[in-house]
Amino acid sequence: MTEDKGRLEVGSKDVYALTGRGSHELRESGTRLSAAELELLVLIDGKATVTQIEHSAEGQSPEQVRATLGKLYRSGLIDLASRMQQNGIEAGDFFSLTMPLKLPKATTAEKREEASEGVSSLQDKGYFVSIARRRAGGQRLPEGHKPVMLLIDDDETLVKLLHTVFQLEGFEWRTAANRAGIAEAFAVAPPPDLVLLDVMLPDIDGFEVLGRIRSHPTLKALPVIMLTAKATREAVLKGLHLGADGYVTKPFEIEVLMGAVRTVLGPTEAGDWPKGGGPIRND
Amino acid sequence: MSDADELAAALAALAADYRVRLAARLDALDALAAGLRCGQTDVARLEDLRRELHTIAGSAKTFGLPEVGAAARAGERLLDPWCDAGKTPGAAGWAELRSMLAALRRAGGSG
Repeated sequence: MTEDKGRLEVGSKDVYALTGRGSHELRESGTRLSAAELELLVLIDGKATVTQIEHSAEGQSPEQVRATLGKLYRSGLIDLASRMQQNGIEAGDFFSLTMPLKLPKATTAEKREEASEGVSSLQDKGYFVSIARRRAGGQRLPEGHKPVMLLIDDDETLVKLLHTVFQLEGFEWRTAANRAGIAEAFAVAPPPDLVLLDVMLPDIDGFEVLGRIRSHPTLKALPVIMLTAKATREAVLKGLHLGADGYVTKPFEIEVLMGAVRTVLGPTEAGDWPKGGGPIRND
Repeated sequence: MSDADELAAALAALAADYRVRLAARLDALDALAAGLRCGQTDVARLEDLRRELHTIAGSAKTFGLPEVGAAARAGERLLDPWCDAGKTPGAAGWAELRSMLAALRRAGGSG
């Protein structure tokens, strides 16, 4: 990367890494970044070359990728890995729970090699995020409205736990554990204000459920947070591409999940919350 | 009782319930694995095993059992290539599978 009179040139062989702030955007249950920016942060998480990012970013041209990288860089969310190393910051260390990015089949051998170099420090131990963003133009809940939560998950013990937590937080509560249950839950009025959605369900894939919600004429704007042990970078990207408002990997901390829920729902019209809580990053 | 106290008490009760249920879930895992050892190529059963490990991996730490979650996650990863390829493991794979289930038992405190 070179900077000339304020103009930023992103080189194809540059290796980027997330800064601490960049990591927080993916793990602190509250972000204002766009879906495209989030996608690049997930792709970079650990280290990645510009070529690798360009070949992995879906629906973004190389020019768009470079423009977004410039924006993320100027925002202090990413930096050149070499510069971080010079400053004694090991990008790979903090992210020891990340895993190598699977490259698209179409990439050339040369590019694969180059990309592998960029992610060589990542370890295949798992991946965790807590991403949550409030949809632009999302409607505020009316004052005094008891938010209706729909949890789609087949783990009974987890359902009990979340029922207890969200009931105390002042939520109405519905659950569904399979395809039939989901259909029933959506047939009940009023529709939910928020869905927490697992991926590995007994007879349907949570991503398919998300896709159906996003293509439904009346439910398409419904806030959805993926809450899943499907903890891979590819799964997170899939959820974001399909239009999830949040992605929280299991196992999770209760407060982290609550923060994600508050971020995605936003405050009520009166600016308050059930039980007086608020999003982690309230402004 | 304050909300925080009420929540803490409820969570403690749920964690205790989770531990009780975990023993039965580990038994179910062993039964699934035992069925696999009969030598049939039963990918559906292998998938059930992975699915159950996945569920435990996603919840155990939340209920105060991080070692169980980590052991289950390791088991899920072990099964990933077999399930994704649609085939059952060979002799070395079975040994790994048995070792993984034993590790999970130990982590769950019933090994």
